[in-house]
Amino acid sequence: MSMRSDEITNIIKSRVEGFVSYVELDEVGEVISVGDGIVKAFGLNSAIMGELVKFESGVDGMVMNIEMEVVGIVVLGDDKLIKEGQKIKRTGKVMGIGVGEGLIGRIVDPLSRPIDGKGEIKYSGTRPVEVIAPGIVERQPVRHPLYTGIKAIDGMIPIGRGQRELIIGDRQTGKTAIAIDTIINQKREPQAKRPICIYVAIGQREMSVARIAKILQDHAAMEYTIIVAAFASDPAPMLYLAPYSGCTIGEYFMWKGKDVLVIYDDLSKHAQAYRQMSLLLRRPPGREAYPGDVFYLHSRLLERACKLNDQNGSGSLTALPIIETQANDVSAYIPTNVISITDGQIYLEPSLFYAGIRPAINVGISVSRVGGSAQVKAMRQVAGKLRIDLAQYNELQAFAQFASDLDKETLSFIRRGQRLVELLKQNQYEPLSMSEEVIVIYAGTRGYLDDVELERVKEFEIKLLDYIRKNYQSLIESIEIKKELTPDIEAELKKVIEEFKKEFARKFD
Amino acid sequence: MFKDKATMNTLSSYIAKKYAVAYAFCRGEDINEKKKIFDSIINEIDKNMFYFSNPTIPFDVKREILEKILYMYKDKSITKILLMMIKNKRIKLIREVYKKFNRIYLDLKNMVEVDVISRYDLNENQKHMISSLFFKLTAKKPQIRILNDENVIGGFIIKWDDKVIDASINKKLALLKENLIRKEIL
Repeated sequence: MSMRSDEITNIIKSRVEGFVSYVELDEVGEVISVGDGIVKAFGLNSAIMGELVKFESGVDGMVMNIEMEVVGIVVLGDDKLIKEGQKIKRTGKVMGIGVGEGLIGRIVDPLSRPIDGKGEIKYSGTRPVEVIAPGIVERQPVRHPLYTGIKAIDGMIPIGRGQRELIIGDRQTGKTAIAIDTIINQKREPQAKRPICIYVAIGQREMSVARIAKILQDHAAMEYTIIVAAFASDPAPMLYLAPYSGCTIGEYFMWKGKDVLVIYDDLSKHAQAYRQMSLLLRRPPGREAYPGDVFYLHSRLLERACKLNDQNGSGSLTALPIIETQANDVSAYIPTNVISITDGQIYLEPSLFYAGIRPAINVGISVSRVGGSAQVKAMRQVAGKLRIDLAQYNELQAFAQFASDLDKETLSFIRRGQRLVELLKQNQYEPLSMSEEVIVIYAGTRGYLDDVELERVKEFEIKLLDYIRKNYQSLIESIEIKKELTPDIEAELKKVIEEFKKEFARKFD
Repeated sequence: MFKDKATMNTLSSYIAKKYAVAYAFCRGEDINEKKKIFDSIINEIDKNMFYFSNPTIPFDVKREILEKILYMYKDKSITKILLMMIKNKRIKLIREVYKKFNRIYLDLKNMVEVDVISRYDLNENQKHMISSLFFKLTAKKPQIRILNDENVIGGFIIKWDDKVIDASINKKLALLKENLIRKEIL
């Protein structure tokens, strides 16, 4: 595109002529000290908590401490640009970020600025980062399921739309994998009901976030996903802000009547970032040097997850916070806090992970407190027995080594349990639909796998699903539509599985 | 506005405020007289700061020096406050206390110190206009101090407490620049 110089002159001329400026009353302060992303400032006598301030160098800050003579400000950018004596201006606005449909498919920082190199984002408006969670009048109970596509979770620890389910476990136990699988699985939902997924990366390496973005891209999941990333190299205030920003973006969609899934990966690092900020702000340290309000830090965030009532558009915000434990210690400060805030937890165990049971979910201590009412009838019909069978198996497992001395009934329990454990193993990025999960769990809990060799359980599962998809697609569809195993459907399912078993024995033996 | 280091030091500022409040509201003379006395002795105290703050000089000697300086105000509250500051080793904060006291004095009189920064001196008419506008805005009487700054191209800047009204040409040009860049002309 080329423009003549007189055209440019004319444009500038018209802009200058049309320019109107107003004299404004500014409230300014002065930087006393700056270090580690924290600024102590003099002045700003009327500043309010959480207010956005602007430094002379253009960097933004947020008021976090108001003391007798000074104001503590966290820097939301490069603190190297701030010098002693620099002026700070009040904006009169509490911290807010740009929100809108334009964010879908993008990777943004906690201030919702694009970091994926795909150009500017068109925002529909701004929302304050810190808001009070919807009250009881605006809510309704969690009723609709949110499928993760993972058999063990959808069967035994179901998650409802609007629920807060914690994913907890040591490092390298597959916590993020569950979250990513859940996002990928939302692809199955019809577009109108498909949740907008927001993945909030807190204190992760840029490489990890890039890898996750690539996986989501490859599975065409970025079409309905937003990534909010505060990297390990970012200042602590950005890490502190990230989950609130993710939640704020989610709330924009929720109040428009949409379902939203927000994953906070992870809140341990979030608490550490807040600890750093609090110590630098000279707030008194408490247990594990965390400040006294670290519980409130997470409770006010997770309380914003909810299912709105029909008058408010019946949108929902489901939160899947992740907590990383150290050496399996769930009784540490932050894990116990978040366990008590959430509506259940999915507990991942390293011993199971290294034993090849993946996802390494310990079904014994994993619970979902409200998800049961969101589970469809078909799943309840088949999975009710699954938890009992597994519990019995876990109890009898210790005796498994004395196999020859055990009675027939105990042996059958052990045999069934082993097969169920095998059946619940699932590869990463291979989520199943609800009906497929129902079929597979039905086959396991009704004993169709009891005479299948342990090593062939996986093969049986894959081939059974292929067989049904190929020959009895209508069966899958009727489970999806009716959402329960009516006597007719169950009879057909039985018939199909028996038919397949015969073929499986003939073809593959 | 807050250039000196003592003001920057928040702890000093906090302590100084306590002494200023004590002097302003203690029994004795009225606030106008207290102000007059403080104005007249502040420079003298500053001059003798070496003796008052020297830890090797005993307190009794310091008291004698102070009483000689303040012989006119022997029974006044200023002497008691200064003795207390010397005893508590806070005499170095006297300038800060003076500033805080002035702030309290102006508050009580519903007045405020206002700096008007402009390139040239303002005439009486302009000063009056600024005063009346300021009173309308804050309901306080301004005590205007004109400061000349060659960097101000035109117009003026009004500063008081932590507030600034920038009505200078510099600010207008900065806004115009911001406006032109933001609208992406090309």
